[in-house]
Amino acid sequence: MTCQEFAAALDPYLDDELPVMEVLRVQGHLHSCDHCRTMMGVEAALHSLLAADAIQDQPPPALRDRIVQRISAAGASLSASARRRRVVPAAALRAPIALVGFLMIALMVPGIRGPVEVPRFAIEAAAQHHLSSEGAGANLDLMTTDLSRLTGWLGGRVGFLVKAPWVNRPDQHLVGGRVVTVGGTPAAHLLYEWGGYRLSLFVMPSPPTRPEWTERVIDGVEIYTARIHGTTVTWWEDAARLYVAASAASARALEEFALLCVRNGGLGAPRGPGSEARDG
Amino acid sequence: MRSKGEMAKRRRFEAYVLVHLDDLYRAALRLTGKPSDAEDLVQETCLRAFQALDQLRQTSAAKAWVFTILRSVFLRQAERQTVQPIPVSPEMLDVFARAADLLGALQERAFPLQESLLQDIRQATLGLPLPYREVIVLAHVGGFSYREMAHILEVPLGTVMSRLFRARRLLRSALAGVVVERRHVEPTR
Repeated sequence: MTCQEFAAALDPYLDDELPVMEVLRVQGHLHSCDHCRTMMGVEAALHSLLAADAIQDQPPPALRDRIVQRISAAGASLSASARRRRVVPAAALRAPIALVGFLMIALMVPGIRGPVEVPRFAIEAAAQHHLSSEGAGANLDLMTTDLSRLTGWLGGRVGFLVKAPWVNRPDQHLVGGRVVTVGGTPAAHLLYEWGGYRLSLFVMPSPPTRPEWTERVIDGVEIYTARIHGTTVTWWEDAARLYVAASAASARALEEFALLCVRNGGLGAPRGPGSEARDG
Repeated sequence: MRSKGEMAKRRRFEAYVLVHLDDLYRAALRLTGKPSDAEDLVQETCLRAFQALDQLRQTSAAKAWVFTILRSVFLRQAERQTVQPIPVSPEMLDVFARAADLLGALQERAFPLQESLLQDIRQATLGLPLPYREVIVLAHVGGFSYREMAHILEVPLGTVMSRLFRARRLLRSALAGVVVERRHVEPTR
């Protein structure tokens, strides 16, 4: 690679837009060229400044409430007109929407909750899992097998350190992640391929009060499990974080995954080789 | 009492739109320059997004979809207001581009960024012509890929790349100028 080629590749390199082979060429050139290393330092400093500035401001707390009020008012008027028009959703969307809708309704109607009081976040996690894992394309913000990259990306958006296990086997690997809201709290959502199933891991701040639902203690870890209409939801706490895993896999499989999470925090895991792309 | 459909739509709105509230506000603040205008812009964007939520087919692209709405609302609001964003003709953009190239090339050698300039970067961003400010906001606040930005801005991929390149050069030049000014103002020890 020449210095001219390096200059042209510098922005895409820092923007994470270069193919893996080009990244290797850029890095190779950097090793051998002082001038380009200096140029790289200047450009990287600007990127760092922009990245630091980008997370400086928080919206006023009341803004969210004002938006919710406005859409509630808009929703009421829209639904009145929708009743007149009788819009029917596409057939392919009916089943997942019905299931997610049911899970949401389950939050509101005590009679269909079953014999055990399932925490709200567990039901929401099951719904989010269905929304992301049904169909061919999962609705992820970032698709990558690189755990370090994903946890860094998620951490920058949810505002806390995200720990997750690193697995790299043909039938067990990371798929990607996104930011979601669970129980009114921003949560990091990591999606895994797990022994033939899609498995969602949600990480969010621990609630101020623990759920009243206690189940198994395995190797000193309290693991709670619920089965919500075909989806197993397992949750546990670790270092002031609440972890919620949801999958169609068995409770035993999720308990094994929970133990893996606790034992293998994933931080410092090796960067995965290639195979990463933004979902769009 | 809300119907099932309303509740599902509300949940979808929270999952696909409201979850991006922080980034929407940050982007709006950098586009408008004023917190009150940014709040208005975000509220209007969210309302439009809610009303059009049924049109969101590809949920993986929800964030880009909402940012497209934000940009559209911003441009419409800017058109109506007496104080508009700096109008930039293609000729002016070309002048800016050449100036950025020249300044950038000079300052790469002379003034590497090495000071804490966080408070200046915002001012410099706000001072960029709108086409350049947009790509900076989308890339660094939105975290979008080149392809996503091209889709949001409705311009070719190459245009996104050249605008980003020149926008960063202009920012670097503006910041280097600040460094030079401070060196003149601060007493030497």
